[in-house]
Amino acid sequence: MKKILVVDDASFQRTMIIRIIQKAGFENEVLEAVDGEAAIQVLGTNFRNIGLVLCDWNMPRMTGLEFIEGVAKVPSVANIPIVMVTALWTGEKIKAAYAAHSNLAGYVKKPFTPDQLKTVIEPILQRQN
Amino acid sequence: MELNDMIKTALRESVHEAMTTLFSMTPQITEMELDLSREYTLICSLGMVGRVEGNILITFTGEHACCIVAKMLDMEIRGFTPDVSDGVCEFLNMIGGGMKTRLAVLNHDFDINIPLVVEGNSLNFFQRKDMSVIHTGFTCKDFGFETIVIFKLHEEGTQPKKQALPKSNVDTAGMLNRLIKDDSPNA
Repeated sequence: MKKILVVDDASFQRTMIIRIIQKAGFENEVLEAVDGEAAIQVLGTNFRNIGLVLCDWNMPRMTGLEFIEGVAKVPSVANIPIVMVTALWTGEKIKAAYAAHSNLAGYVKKPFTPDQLKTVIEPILQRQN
Repeated sequence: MELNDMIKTALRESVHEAMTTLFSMTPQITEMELDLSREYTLICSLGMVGRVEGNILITFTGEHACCIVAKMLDMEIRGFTPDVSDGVCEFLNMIGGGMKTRLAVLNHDFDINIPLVVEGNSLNFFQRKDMSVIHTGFTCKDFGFETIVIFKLHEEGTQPKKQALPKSNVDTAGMLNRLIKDDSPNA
C-alpha cells in the first residue's frame, strides 16, 4: 500500500490531516515533512512507496510552490499525485500552482471539512491501492 | 465602503467560514464596546503588515479553547496542552488568512505573521492612540470567543515595504535526482 506524504510547517495542521485520513478509513502509512526542503529528503528516499503528497504553500526555507516546481522536473517523481492544501486560494495563486506543476492532482482550500479532503484524495488513493 | 466596515465584514465572513467548515456551527455575533478593564486568561495574536497594519487578537477561556481544539481534532482534550496552543493558533491563522484574502480584493492587502499565544491570569491589553479597534463577540452552542482587531490604514505608497520572502536557493530537482540515484540498485 502506497504511503502518503503530508508537508506543512504547522504540526497541528499535519495532525488534523492525519486524523482525517485515519478516520476516513485509509490505512496508508503517513510520512511528514515540515517544509519543502524536508519534503525533498522524504520524497527522494521514499519515492517508490509514496502514492500521494498533500502540500501546504507558505512554509519557511522552501515554499510549497518551489517544492512542486522542482518535483515536476524529475521524471521519477513527476507523476506522483500532489494536492495543494492551503489557505491561499486566490485565482492568481491557483494559476501559479498549475503553472509550476501542470499535473497537479488537486487543490483543497483551508479551512476544509473532512469530507472535502476525502473527496479529493479518495479517488487518488483508490487508484494507487 | 469605509475601512472599519470592510474589516468588520471580512472578519465576520472569515469567522463564519471557519466555524461552519470546521464545526458545522453558525456563530452568533455580538458587537462590543472595547472595555480595557476586561481581563483574559488566553490571548492569541496575529500580526498584520502592509497597507493595513495591526493585530488580530482572539481571546478564549481555557475551557473553550480546549473545546474548540477537541472539535478540530475530533478527539478528547484534557487540560491546556501544546496541542491546544497550536490549535488556537491554527484557528486564528484560518481567520487571518480569510481576512487577508477578502481585503486584498479591496486593495487593502497585508501579510500575516506566525500567531502567538499568551496564557496567564488577568491579562489586559492597551490600545495605541493612533489605531482603531473593532471588538466582536462570537458564540455558538458549545463555546464563545472575542476578537479584537487593532489596525491603521497606511496611505497608498506609504505602507511599510513588503519584505519579499527569499527564494530557497536549494536546487530541488538536483537534490531529488541525487537522492533517487543513490537509491537505485546500481548506485
